[in-house]
Amino acid sequence: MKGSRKIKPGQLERRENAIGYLFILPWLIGILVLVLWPMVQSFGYSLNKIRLLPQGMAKLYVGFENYSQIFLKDPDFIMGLESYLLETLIAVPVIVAFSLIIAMLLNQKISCRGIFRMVFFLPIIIASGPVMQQLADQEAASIPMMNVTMIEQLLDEYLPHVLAVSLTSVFSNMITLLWYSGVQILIFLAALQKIDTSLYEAAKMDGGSKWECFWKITLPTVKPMILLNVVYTVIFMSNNEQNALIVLIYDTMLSATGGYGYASAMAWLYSVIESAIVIFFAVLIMGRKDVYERRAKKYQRELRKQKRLEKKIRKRGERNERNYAKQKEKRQRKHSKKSA
Amino acid sequence: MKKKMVSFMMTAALAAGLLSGCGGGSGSAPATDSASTGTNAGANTDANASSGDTAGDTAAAGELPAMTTDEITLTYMHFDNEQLVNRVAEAFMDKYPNIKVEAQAFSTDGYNDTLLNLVQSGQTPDCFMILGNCDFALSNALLGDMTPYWEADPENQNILPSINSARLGYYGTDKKLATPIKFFPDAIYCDLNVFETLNIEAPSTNWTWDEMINTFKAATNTDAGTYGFNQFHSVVTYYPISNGNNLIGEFGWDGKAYHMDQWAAGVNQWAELVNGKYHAPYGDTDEMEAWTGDRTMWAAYTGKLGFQIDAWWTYLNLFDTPDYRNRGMEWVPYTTPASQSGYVFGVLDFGGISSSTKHPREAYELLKWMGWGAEGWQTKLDAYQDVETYADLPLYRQSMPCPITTDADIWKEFQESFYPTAATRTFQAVNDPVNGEALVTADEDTKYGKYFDDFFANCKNPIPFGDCQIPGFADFLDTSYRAVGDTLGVEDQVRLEGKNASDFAAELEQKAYDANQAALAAAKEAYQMIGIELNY
Repeated sequence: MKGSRKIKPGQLERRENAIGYLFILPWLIGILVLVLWPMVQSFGYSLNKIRLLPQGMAKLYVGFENYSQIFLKDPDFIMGLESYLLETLIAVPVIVAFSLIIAMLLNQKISCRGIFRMVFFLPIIIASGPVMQQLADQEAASIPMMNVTMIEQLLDEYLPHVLAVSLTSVFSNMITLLWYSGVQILIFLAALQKIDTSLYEAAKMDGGSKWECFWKITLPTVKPMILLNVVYTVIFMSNNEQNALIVLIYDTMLSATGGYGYASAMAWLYSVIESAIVIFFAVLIMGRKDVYERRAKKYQRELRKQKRLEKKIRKRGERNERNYAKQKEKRQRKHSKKSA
Repeated sequence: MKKKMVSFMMTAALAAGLLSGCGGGSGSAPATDSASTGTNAGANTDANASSGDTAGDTAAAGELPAMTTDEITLTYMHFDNEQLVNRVAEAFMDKYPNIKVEAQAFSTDGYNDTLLNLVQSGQTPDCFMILGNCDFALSNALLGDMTPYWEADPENQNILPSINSARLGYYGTDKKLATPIKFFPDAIYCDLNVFETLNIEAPSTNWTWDEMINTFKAATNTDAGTYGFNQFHSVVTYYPISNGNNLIGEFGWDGKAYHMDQWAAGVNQWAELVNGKYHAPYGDTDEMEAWTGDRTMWAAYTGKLGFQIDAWWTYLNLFDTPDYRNRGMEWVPYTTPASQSGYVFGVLDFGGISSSTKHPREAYELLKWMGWGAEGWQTKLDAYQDVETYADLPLYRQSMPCPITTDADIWKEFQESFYPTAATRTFQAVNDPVNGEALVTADEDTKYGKYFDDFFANCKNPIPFGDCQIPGFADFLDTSYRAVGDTLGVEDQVRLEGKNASDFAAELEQKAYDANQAALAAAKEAYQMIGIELNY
């Protein structure tokens, strides 16, 4: 075995890890250079008054003054944040539910399934950025037959005005919201296709209806994807060019008393609210256990209890055995002493 | 455990990246701030002083210094027609063979943002156009001081008078930092056909404000189903300029302060006209549907509208096309009623030289060619004759601006070449797309021609929108004037809630003044950093 190298324990594992890191290296470099560094920079900007002079960038450190100025002098931004918060909280469930329904429909064995799948994904490719803006400007974003004014009046009567306005905004941008669903449909579709069909067959044999199958098989299986889609939807809605706050931040960047520093502070405040929304949905979805999770948890609890009991019994048995052996030994010693 | 940590960190990084949002607004700021100067940006700044032919020398001499004979390259950034600018650049290079011009065309979408990105990455063009709002250019000291060149250049006495009398491009300071380089007179289009149908006289082309309002009312006829006017640009904008004495801007701006009493009178009158149904129904309303049977109809397309208050380019792009001609409409332009000082309203695009250019004299000359100079304009007129755009349209149909020079020959050629005048219509008659016959006959040409002649004679004293000439104006509108949340904008409060605009005047006047002072202070601070003292 001349020349053969001895592989040390764990070396293969480390080599595999290194190859893994190599594969993700471009992504790591990208995220560090193009995302994390600009983020650090933008936070730095937010603590400064910035002038982009042709002779170079001039910074004047102002601490958190930009942040306080937003609250003191910028009613537009604060009110924009409020309505963004409400609209997102209302629109995200609508989009995710719609995506799931469409994904389930597209998962059926229907003719021209491929074309339908393409149709629902098409807005992601063609109706982005300026195209979307044009469509919105031409009022193509709302359903023509829907009388939004009447809906607003009706909602205004029963709900607080702020909520009514946010709900109306969802109705008036209904088509846009549905256009936002392409990627989510795709994700749900992938999840649905991974469900083992034998589960449905077994359920059917046990007399389960489609409705029960949905709640007890489909939904629990795609649940992780719901969270993923919620996060994706929140981020997509928050960062697209139709978002009024993005436009406001952009305009502020170019205004006399705003600039990069002030606009960066706005962007950071905005991202805090955005993160809060994501956390809210994550807690809401991950905190809710379905019937199987509850049963599984209960079963695991019982199992643990049983194991503890077994352990206890085993230990007691061992102790008893030990005691018995000791007593036996004692007795034997006593007996041998007597006989001696 | 280690793997978990790495996975967690990567996930967190990705999530944070996605959540940071607003990448375009802040995070995406160009990473090239290697030139960052801290708070002492002024130290390496006074580029004007680095040039051999400094502004100071020019001022002392009282005449323009000679152009350099060195081989240099100038960059010009614009949102104008690319082919037209290239033609002018070629002509400039023919005259100054030692100067190479690199014209950079950008779309108007995000134009100012692009300019800032270029600035931050150290590629500031030598001269450039700015789009609308002047604040970003002032608060970042992008515009160089061209006062000495401007004031020493005899050609600048031969331009639209309001540029000098209203001190456009000085922004209320003692420095000429920018100047109009594109000019679109505002037009109040009159459909002569409606007046013939109603059997009333079309108003005089030298109309006063009251005559204009009375004509709006006269053209409103319920039986005939006609409305007096529809507006793209607003009578609220026009009122102070047309009625005030020596007012040179929206909201009664006089160059230093606002006179909101003029604005208030304008808003009240506008509300009265709209509520009195002299204004055509707005789009996407039941009223519009009842009037035309189509909610999305544009009032100026109905053939039942007396006046459309609009921009100059609407004539070339719409009213002078077979679609409108075939519907029997006969649109002719009127200027906004002139004030005592002769001011009318117009759209002006501004441009300036960079505060960091190494060749301010040459950059100034190039800007003049591109904007207001007679030589540049002669080149443009030649280009209009023979250049077709990518869409096979004559170049001039791409929103052709009017000359800024008042050179009589240029104006004569401009009018005769492109617009139907009584004397001649030598270029691009409007033909029927089906049979190719001219839609405008010689008689009609004579009929419309006088309106165009008067329009061109009256339009040469333009006052532009507030945001491109008054620092802080855009901020004032955003924070104090337009709707915020559920609160209606001031104009809508007057129109829909019956409030009196005069009640808002004092408060708005103060807020607008404060916004102006804040913007000027920001500009002063920025210019101090590059060694230029702005006084206001």
